[in-house]
Amino acid sequence: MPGSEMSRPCKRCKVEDAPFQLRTDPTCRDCYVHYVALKMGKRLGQLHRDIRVSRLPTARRYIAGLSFGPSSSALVELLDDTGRRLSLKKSTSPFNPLVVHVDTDLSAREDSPARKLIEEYRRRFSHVEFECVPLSDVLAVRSIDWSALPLPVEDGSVIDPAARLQRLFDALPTVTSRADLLRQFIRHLLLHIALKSSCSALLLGHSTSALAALTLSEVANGRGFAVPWQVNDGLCTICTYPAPGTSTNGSDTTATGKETAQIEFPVYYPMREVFRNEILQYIDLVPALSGLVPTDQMTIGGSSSVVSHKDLSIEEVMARYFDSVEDSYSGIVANVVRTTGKLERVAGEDFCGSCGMTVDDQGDSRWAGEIGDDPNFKSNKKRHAPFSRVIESMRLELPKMRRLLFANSVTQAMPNAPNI
Amino acid sequence: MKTLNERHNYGLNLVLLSVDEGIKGYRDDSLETVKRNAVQYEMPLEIVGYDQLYGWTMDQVVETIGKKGNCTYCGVFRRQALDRGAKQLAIKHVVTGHNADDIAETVLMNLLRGDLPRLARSTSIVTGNSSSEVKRSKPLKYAYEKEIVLYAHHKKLDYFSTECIYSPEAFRGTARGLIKNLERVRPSAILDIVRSGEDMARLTPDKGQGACACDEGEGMGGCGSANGRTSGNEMALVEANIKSQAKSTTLETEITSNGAPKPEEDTVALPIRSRRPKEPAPSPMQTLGQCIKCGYMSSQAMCQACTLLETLNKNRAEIAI
Repeated sequence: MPGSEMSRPCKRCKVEDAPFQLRTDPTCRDCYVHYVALKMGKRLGQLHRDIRVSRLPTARRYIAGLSFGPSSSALVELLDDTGRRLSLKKSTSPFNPLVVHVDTDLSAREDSPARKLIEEYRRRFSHVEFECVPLSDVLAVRSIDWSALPLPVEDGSVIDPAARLQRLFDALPTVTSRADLLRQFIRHLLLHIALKSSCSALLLGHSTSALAALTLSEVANGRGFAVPWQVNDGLCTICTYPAPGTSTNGSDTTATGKETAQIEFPVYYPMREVFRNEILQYIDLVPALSGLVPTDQMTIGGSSSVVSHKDLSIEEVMARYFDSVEDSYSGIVANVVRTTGKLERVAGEDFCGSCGMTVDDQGDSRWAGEIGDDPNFKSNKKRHAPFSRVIESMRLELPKMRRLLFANSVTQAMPNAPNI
Repeated sequence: MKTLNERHNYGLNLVLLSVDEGIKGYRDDSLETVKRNAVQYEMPLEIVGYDQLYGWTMDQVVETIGKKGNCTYCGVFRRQALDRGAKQLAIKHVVTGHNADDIAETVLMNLLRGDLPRLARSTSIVTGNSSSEVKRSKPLKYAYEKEIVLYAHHKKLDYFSTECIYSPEAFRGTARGLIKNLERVRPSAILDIVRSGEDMARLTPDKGQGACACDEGEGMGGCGSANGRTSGNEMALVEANIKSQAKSTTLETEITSNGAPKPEEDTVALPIRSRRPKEPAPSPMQTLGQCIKCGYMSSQAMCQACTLLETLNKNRAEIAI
């Protein structure tokens, strides 16, 4: 943000004219741009160190997702810049990223707006390859357990893959589940293309704010166990499932829904240390990005005024929340991401057929607690009116408390034990 | 609880315990409700006040601190006041009425604040261990706030539902607003957050050991305490001595660091350049010790309440001059 006081020099290079505020320090334009580039470059370097197998220069072919949003556009610009710099150096590992946009408009034809926009990107950034893929290609992806989703079967009535996918989305009950599944599909599709075009890592352009929102929306979706896998950098497991309808020969019908192969693939978020506001500022400062990002992508949810929370998805609620707190409490945005970084990645035996994340084997029975163990309870499931739930949760906890009390009074022989 | 106790013959001896923060226009009204409840349910009632425990009412604290950040004081003081009140009455188990909304709020707040140790222990139903003689539980943890209010309404219970007059300024307020928004989108999100909180507790560096509610037997409840996670129980002997002077908060003494239980230092491993993916630096674990001033359990040398009191008293002295 341009500051009012011109008197304070740039904190980094001491130049007099420092109109921008970067994490409370006055900063000049060049240092600002350099800072964002450095944050991204560090993560990219970390990725290279993590996945290379020998010290000899090896080809660095990464795939990057592009949503046309500010953050992923900035990522593309930085990848292009890195590619241009590295192409001049002969001694380093060759660097040729592939940028893929997944066109989520299911009614799109050959001359869709997304294709036009990708042409514009291609014109501006010559050191990266671009590709535009329709979302309906996801139907060919084998890393999703399609038997778990309400996808209409291929019976000839609906041949168009886009129409089938549209039916699938229509069958989902809420805005949240649609948004959630769309995000998963894009991720799967990107991973699929990455493997097909022999890329060595997937780069996603989430900013700190976007990662924080992703963390909390995953938490609010009850997937806390898998959050470290979703949000942290590193190897992710990809399972492959049999194509629907192929395993019906013979007795092997039960095998659908069971994965057939597992591979590990690195997924990294190079923009993870840059806030959304900083990226918006960066786009303002870099001529190559000016006027490129569609204006509706520059603000969260189009307009910031809330229409009705009922029509929003959980993801959107979170994105709005972080958008509102980023100014006043920018610390907490980074806190969320850093806290997640400290959580361990505990791998379960099973993987979710839809989101591909690890599943806690005993999670459900642990959650059910004594409720799960009580056979009477299961048969009474129907009478789960609110009141009975209150009583029920207390009924289950009281005996536990009582046991604790008794055990305690025996083992510790408290002198002033209450009369129980 | 009273109904269940009588119906199932648990043989529990139930007592009502209230904390008076000294907030006019909020707590004085609700205490009236509590007093009526005591008569209605024929249960003995004990009220402990901040003024008698700490020499400060919340109204005075707010006067000194201002409208922001005073919830920290209130929360810390109340937790300790509950335990002290319980000790006075020789109570061994404090049951609080926290509902699912409260827990979800806490989970989000701990994530927002980056408070890993608390994330590990805040979700367990029963907290407290062999070294703290008062346990706490939250039996309503899985019940939505709405359900509870409906229950109380339809059973025509005499209850009090006003938010604290100072709460709109609190950081908790933003988390609360977020939860309400989520509830509008998908009501089950609240329980989903609680579930995520429990799962994430097991992913924290100390593995949420014992913070798991289904761990039974041993009389421990297997749970981390609400104010510090247990390690070995080296403090058990010391505790017996300190117990006798539990109520005396000596407000004037200086802090002496010798003889204090040494909290684990924040050791940060130097980054080692390696080609293997780095393990995350081990974050310091919190060990349960005791406050050097009042003997209350704490993971630091001096417990939060005493630290806060110290700053308060410093201010008061200055004002007096």
